[in-house]
Amino acid sequence: MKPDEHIPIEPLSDASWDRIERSVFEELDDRARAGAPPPARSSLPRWAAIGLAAAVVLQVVVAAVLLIRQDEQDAPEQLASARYVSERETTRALLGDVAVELEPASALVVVEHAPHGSLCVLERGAVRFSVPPRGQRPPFVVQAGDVRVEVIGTRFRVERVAGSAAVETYEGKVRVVAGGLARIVTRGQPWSGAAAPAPAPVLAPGLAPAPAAEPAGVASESARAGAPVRADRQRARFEQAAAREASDPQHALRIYRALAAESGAWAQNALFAAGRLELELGDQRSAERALRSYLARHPAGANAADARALLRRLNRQEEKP
Amino acid sequence: MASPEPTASRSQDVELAQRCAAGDRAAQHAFFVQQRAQVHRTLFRVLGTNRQVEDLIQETFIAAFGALGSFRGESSLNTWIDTIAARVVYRHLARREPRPQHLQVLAALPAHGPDPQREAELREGVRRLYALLDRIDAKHRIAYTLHVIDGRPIKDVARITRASSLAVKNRVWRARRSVHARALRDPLLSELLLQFKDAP
Repeated sequence: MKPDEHIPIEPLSDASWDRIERSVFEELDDRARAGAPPPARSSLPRWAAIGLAAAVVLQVVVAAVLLIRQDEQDAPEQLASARYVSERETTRALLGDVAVELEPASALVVVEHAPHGSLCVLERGAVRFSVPPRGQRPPFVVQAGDVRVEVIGTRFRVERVAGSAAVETYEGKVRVVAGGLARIVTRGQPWSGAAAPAPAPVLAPGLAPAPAAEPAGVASESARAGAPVRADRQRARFEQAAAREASDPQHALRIYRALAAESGAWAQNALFAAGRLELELGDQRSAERALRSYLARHPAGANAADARALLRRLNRQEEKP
Repeated sequence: MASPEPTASRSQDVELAQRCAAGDRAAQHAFFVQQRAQVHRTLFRVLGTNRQVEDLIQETFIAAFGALGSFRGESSLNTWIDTIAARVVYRHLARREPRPQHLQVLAALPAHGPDPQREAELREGVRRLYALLDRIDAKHRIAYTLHVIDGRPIKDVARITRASSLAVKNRVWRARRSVHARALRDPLLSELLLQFKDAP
């Protein structure tokens, strides 16, 4: 008798197959909605494919903006945020009159895009913006780590560098606020967060916020505990949670919460990620608790500025009648 | 020995892949249904259990849908997706923590013969074999399970794992050496390998 006859393949139930199929296609849908479809070889000419893709992106953005506005009118408790993720290729989108170009492996959360102003949080990677002069238009702000970029009207690029950012202007100027200081960045004068911590660990693209650099105290403590291994395990769990966010957010949340109860840089990341995800899932109370806890424990953490921005957004929502 | 795959079938594979890559949902469903048993077989064979297999099947298909645009028909879709499944299960094995013995769950085997005592012993042998495989290098495990247990030719395993035939032979040899060393001290495992005609 052959070995494989001794160990027959145990069949999966129909329910299991249904679950798998549903998860796979939901994930495909999520990626398509995020503007990062799987790389496809199209039989269309390149110009037609680009035009078609642009039209689809435009439709998605318009639909998102309409949904956001409808949500604001009909259900104030709903979140008006959207998350754009690029994988291996540059991804473009329009936010009203602002053209956004996500470089590969970048993630941008549009926390708010409303008549009174827009706020985007750059989670990781780099994004180029083309923003018409603000003048009478509502303010447009990009938050990247602890750096806040207030747009005056320009073409510029923001790159997330660990807990900070680098800003480069191609046209016009932007106002960069970091460490309590504000400065104007113009063309030919790129600016970079001077005290940027050590490079952050690399994550699977498309799924997770920028990880925090290991704080010195935590690093020395973890070194004593022999914790490269523990950090690797924590990172694996974080990545597992990040990978499950789209298909099974509740499962991802459970992993983040469990990880957040531990110590170390990945626990810190997980606490912020839990707050962000709870916000996306509409659980404002838990989100606020997690984000406040994050700020209390890591006031200078890599995601502190992002956490404050999300809390401000939450507070504004609560103030609405 | 695997025979060369027919060209007509290969061109159908390419056409299906292109339709999937272009976002044709019907084609994507067809691809999923066509390939799911193959993916499950490969993953199950390496893991020896359906525990965690659902997640890995999902991961395999999501990776496959992301890469179908680059499928050129150099191999069949079966082989192509097996390559992805092998990569997914390798990553899974390489990153996971060693599993405690008491958590191992094994397939319930159908009773082949009339002797339940013997069937129970074989099942226990299978359990011990996979417990042993849990402790060896992931590449060695994949080569061993696909070649020795699933009966795939060395060159097929080499293609799936993107390794040379020589490397796969070496991996199988190393895994086999570990298994045989254990079997010399374990009568049930030895009996199982005897059934496989792979006894030390």
